[in-house]
Amino acid sequence: MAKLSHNESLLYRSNKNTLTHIGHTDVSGLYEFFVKELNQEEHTYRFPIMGILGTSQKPQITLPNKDKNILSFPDSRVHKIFKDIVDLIKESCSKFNLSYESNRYYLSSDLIVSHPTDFWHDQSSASRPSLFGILHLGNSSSKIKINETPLTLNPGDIVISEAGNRVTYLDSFKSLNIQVLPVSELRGQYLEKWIPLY
Amino acid sequence: MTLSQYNIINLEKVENKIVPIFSAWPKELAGWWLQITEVSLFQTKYVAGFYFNNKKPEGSVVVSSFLPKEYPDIYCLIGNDSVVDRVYVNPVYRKKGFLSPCGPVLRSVVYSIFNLIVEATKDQSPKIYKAMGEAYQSIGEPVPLRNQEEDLSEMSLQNIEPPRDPAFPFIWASERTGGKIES
Repeated sequence: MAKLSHNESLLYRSNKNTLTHIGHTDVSGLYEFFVKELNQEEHTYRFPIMGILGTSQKPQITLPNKDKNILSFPDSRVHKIFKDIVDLIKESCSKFNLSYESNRYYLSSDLIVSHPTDFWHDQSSASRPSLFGILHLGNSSSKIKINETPLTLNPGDIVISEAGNRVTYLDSFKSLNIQVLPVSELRGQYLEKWIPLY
Repeated sequence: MTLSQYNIINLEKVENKIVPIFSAWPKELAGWWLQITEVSLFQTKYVAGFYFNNKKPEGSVVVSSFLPKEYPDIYCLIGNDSVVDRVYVNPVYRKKGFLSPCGPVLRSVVYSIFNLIVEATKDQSPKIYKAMGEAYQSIGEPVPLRNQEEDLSEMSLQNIEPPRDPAFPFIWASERTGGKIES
């Protein structure tokens, strides 16, 4: 498919079928692992810690892992899930007629505790070639709609679709939301948020 | 006007314009903070995003070359001519009066840091014009007249939402709350 300009992509989106691709990975205990890692505390003291009268100071508490891309954690399970997601993105590009190589994609993710069900949502960007994904981290199956296409996601299911599509969560559930953007749409982004895909 | 409104304690006149002086972050924006990103695009100089979350302490003003990944709850663009355009409010926070105090805050911040006086665009939808009017009244400055209907853009005439990524290729990639689902 020829490369479309941004405006052409928006017009394309309004006249096309909703493209989705679904895969599966093992996520048992993953949500709890992510929450634990994200909330690891770091305590900073100023020396001397003990004052002259025996008073001790309270440390400044920070969460160094907060706001980082949690798929970059050095952990064998997370590595396996990251690989499964990337494989699925490659398959999606093939299915959606997108060039994985020439788009030079980067990936980021957000851990979502619950989804509001009274508003629709979108993520990643306004149109293809950006993609988005939802990895179900809950304990039971949940229903969503991407545009007008109904889907049932089971724990561990990952759905990949084109950016700009509207997502309606018919149930609230825990998820890892995934954004996949070409390098050309990543101006001004913070370094620690994005992982290049090869 | 009420001088204590939005914690404004004084008004400084700068070339026929008024810059509010605040004693503190407005209580009407409790829990909010602001990030201004320099994008230096053809028409847009800065993107201002107001956030209602606990990622930064209330009243933080971040000036950066970076754009947060999180979608802002209120955003606007500041053009190379210092005109504020493309105003967006998260549907969850609409009709709650959050937009009006953002105007004086933005004028104060942009003047303090960049020595620029921001002005509202004259190409506004009726809803944005109402909020802008309240913002101007809070600093005692006459509300600029809105363009005649024939000079309004289609976006303002039809009250169309600003685009998802108004400063493309600067993008807020995380999930955006769209419109309410009609049942």
